[in-house]
Amino acid sequence: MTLGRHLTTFLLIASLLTLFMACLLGATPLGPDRVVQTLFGAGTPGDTVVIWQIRMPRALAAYAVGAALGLSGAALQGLLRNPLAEPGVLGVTASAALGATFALYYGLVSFSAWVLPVAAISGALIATIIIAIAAIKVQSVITLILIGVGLSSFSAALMSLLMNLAPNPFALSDMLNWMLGSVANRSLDDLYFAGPFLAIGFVILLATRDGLSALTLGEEGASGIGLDLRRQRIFVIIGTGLLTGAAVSIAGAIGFIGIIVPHIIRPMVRHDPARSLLPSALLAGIGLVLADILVRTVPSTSELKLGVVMALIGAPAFVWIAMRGRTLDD
Amino acid sequence: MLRLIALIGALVLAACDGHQSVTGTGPERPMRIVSLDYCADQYVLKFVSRDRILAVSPDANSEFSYMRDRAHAIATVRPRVENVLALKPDLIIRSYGGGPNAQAMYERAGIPVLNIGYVNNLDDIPNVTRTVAAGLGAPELGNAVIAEFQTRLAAIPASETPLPTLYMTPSGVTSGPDTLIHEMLIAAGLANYQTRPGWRSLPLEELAYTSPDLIAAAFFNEQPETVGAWSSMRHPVARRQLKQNSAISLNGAWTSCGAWFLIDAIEALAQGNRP
Amino acid sequence: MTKLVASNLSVQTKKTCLLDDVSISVQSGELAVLLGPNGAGKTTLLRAITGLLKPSSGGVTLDTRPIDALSPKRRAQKIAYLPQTRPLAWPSRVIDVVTLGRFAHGSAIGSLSDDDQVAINAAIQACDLTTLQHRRCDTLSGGELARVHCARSFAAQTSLLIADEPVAALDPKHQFKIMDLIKNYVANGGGALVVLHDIRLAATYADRLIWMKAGSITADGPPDTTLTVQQMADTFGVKARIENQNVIIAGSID
Repeated sequence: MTLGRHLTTFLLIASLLTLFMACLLGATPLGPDRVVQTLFGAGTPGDTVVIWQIRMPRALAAYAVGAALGLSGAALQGLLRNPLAEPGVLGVTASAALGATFALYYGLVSFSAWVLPVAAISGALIATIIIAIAAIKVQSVITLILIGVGLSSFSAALMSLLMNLAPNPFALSDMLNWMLGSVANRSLDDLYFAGPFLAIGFVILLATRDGLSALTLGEEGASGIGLDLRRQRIFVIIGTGLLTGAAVSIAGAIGFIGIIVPHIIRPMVRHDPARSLLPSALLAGIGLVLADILVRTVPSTSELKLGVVMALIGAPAFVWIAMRGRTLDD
Repeated sequence: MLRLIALIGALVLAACDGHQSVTGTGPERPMRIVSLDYCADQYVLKFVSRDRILAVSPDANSEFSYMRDRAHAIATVRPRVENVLALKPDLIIRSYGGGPNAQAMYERAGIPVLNIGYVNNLDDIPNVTRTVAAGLGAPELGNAVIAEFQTRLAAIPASETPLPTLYMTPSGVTSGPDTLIHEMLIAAGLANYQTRPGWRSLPLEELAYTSPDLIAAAFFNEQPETVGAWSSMRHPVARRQLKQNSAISLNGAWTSCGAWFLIDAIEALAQGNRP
Repeated sequence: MTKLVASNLSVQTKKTCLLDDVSISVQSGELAVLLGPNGAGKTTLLRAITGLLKPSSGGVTLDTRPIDALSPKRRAQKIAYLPQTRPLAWPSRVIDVVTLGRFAHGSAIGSLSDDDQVAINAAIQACDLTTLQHRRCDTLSGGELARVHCARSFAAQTSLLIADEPVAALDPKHQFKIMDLIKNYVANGGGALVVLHDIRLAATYADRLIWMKAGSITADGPPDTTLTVQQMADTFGVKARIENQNVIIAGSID
């Protein structure tokens, strides 16, 4: 399908351009020529550190987190057959943040740096499993979203309680970042430890995407054309759990990007959930890098949070999509 | 009838006494003193004998409390109005404890409040120390402390070529001009690597180009492993500074309140500077 | 020649017995119609025979191999299943829904082989969807949608088709159109088991009638032998008159 291929190519080029733009911003004024030189390995040692250790890792972190959340959103929407499904709304990001903060502020991370992403992923998987089980038993997706709201609220409350009680003195001051998201001071180290989980989650969701197309026919119809429904559910659960957990371990809980982006992409891929996965990931990555650029350029005494930018755009979009209603039944 | 008049009279007199709005100076030798935060704790533990201290803040025993050795077995109280009033203190001493409305609230309850002034630069330290010591009823001890501070400060050798020094903490913030920390570095004969005023995140991009000659590392003894999840101290560029450059370790207790013991930090810096 | 055999199927839930010792077969070259009142267990039987529902006892074999030994995809390569409710979660195009029929062969919208293309085109032509193929399904009428789902089943190129009320809620013209398509499919070597509510339609198209009531099979044979007034009374509780191939229902009994 040439439209799909063109879209993906366009988004890849746009991604590279956006990452380049993000590298232009920073405390040290670096002209585009110096940035380009450094990107191709011909920069001065100072420039190289600035671009490759400070600016690019932050941009890549924003991109990876955006892509992970966009992909998870698209996959969850395909599985649950509803445009409102997304890790933030369904309580998955809040549970992941709970796992991460518990491990971090009670000193579990001192055993190994891998503990942080694993803890966040565990939180995410618990929530995704609860949602998936509920999706089988519950008919209406509204109920599912309410369960997600419940999960979110409970996780957020537990997180606040734990951080208040934590022996670590930084817990409370970090709370805002965990709940609203930020990629400040992210380095290649952070990407290194979350990277494998991001990669595996990516591969799982992309490899099983055709099953999401089959689900267009509903669960019975999809089983009829040969979909192994249990397997599909399990893979989407594991994939979104890994991606959301890893993303939250890098940047805290960022919501709504998993709703906005797939909603934009789907009409461009003839509403096929499988075809929407990769472009959703790419566009969401671009979106979060742009949001981070906004966060860094808007003059304010304390840095604006990524989650705030996303919520300002995403929450109205969420309400608008919900009010349009379901065009087709399920 | 007479007894009633006497009772009312006594009550009126007591009320009048209480409305004496005393800020800065309390009774001549207040006997029952409560301290609301750990900066106030330092002054009260230094200038007041144990029998006159009613309670200190819960942080008096923490690692960053300079006078913690004197805080053993002294009662602590959380800076909540009900808790403090229940102790019936003669004087309350605070710098930030109890919140911005604390002074008004305690004075309405008839208890004088001694506020420790804000210390912006090194000259403020003797002034604040003098005022607080007088308010606590120990003016001579106050003068002695000030004299020692000034003597030790004068003894710091001036430096011909002040070395650029970066002040680092686990929270990843550093201090530029217009702060007490900046003055501390200058007084120690050093230059401040950070040129932007105020408290900010570590200047990672600048560190990519030029390294400071020295690092003033504060609070790392108390919190070696714990760092905020978004602290710029986690960044490899920042961590490299600690590894590559000579670091002078400062106890967090020395710098955590702008008080007379800052001289310990200044001396440590000046000493570490010497080859 | 493909044969799907269900032997002694029983499906038991906590409250009721949905199927009680049911044995039927479907094979190539034959159009069998399953008749019965609401709640007789027709949908349950179809689900059990396509391997979507695990029976409490009894078994289903496809060409003498047990059906639960097959993976869902292998099974879907042999049997096409049209369920009773046919939702479409997204406003997909006609051609994309028909393409889903190739799912069991491992194909997807972006990666279609020549065989896939041929099958899809043949199905679209057979179901008269050529002018509609790029329309969005949410803009189609009921009759057109029914043809789209038929086309999807045909595109799978399976030996057997199992359809649960494929013509429900369609006007008479479209009911006949769909049944013509299925008849054609059977004439070209396929085998079909179709649930219908319209007796006249059943009588017209069926090679074999299977009568169900209360979870059991009451009769199984060609219309000449099984379509009787007594059968109509027993199964549906209605008074019927049968003249040649015409069935006229006079009213209900009691």
